[in-house]
Amino acid sequence: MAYTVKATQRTDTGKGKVGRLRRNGSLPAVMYGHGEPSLMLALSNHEFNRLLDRIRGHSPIVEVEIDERPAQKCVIKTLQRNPITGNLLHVDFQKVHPGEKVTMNVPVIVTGSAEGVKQGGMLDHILRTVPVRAAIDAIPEHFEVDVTALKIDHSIHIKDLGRTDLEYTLPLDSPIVTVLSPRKLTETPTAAEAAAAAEAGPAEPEVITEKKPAEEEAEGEEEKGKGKTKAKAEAAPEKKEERKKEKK
Amino acid sequence: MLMPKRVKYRRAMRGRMSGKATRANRVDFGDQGLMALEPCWITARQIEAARICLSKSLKRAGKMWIRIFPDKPVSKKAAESRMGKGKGTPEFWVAVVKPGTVMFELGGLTPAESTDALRQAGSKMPCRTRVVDRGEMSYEGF
Repeated sequence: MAYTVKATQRTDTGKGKVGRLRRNGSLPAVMYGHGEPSLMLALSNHEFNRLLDRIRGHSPIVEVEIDERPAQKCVIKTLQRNPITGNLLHVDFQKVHPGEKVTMNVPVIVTGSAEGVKQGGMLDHILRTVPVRAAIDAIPEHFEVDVTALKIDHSIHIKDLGRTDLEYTLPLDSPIVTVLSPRKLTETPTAAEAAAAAEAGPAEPEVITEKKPAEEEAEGEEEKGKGKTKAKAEAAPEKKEERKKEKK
Repeated sequence: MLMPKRVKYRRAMRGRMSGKATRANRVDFGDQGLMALEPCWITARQIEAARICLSKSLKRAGKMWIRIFPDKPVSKKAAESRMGKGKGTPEFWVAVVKPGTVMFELGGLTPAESTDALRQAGSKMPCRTRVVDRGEMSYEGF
């Protein structure tokens, strides 16, 4: 399914102008690739967010229409977001030609309820995307993995995806989904143990730089020794003078 | 409660909490997470309260990840003591959290269950928090 993004070319650059663009409901974007000069674009933020909702779980291949020119096939390369609010800040589109080989992360969708989960295990989704290198037209929108027959301690690997025509960048025996065995009761401390630990109070952590008592004693002795030698050194010239006087 | 096993120095300076989180700022392990929206110190006691709250809602079905660790000692001077005579004794341990830090993550539950659990855990925190989905901050497919 082809997703279309409508964009307009923009000339405004710099954080002030781009900030104004964002406040007016637009989203700055850039399109580049194949050694051609990059194009600065502006999209509708609302429409692009809606597109992202529809595209979730699919490969990010879209067709970008700039000012009603013929659509250009692109890959959504990067999305920049505000780290706190999650709002979109900027989008990067990379041009791709039909038949061009690219490396992309294809999403994995898990379907069904695993047999091992019914037995008390926990489904662990290890690989949510599988990196694939193939021609842009051959890249699947997503991989669907049915876990209904998956028992405890069993896994589904990349080789089980059934697409031998694709080139995978990860080893074929990498697990995608596994059912972990249920946690043993002994692993979690009982309430009594936890209460006892709380009553015992916090223990002091070991201080790496702190000197041990034996070291301190040794150092103390050394200092004492140094003190004696110093005292001797100070006393020596006085004694010499006394001897001279006696000779006279 | 959480605290380091070994430390280089017993006492630490207070430090600053300016800026946003540049690490641990997306849901990396589970399906949903609890994000801090303000800078704050989270004590080991508060982390423990949130952990208990989350583990009650897990019911041995899902998995929990705690992504912060209280590695900063906070010292206090004894009551009615005069100023001076050096820094006080370490009293408790805190984790320094900046806005955007994903503190807890849950996986293996339904979205409604994990949202509810994380909201409850968020009420144990000393700062404003938000429940974030895995796909919200990153798009899987790039």
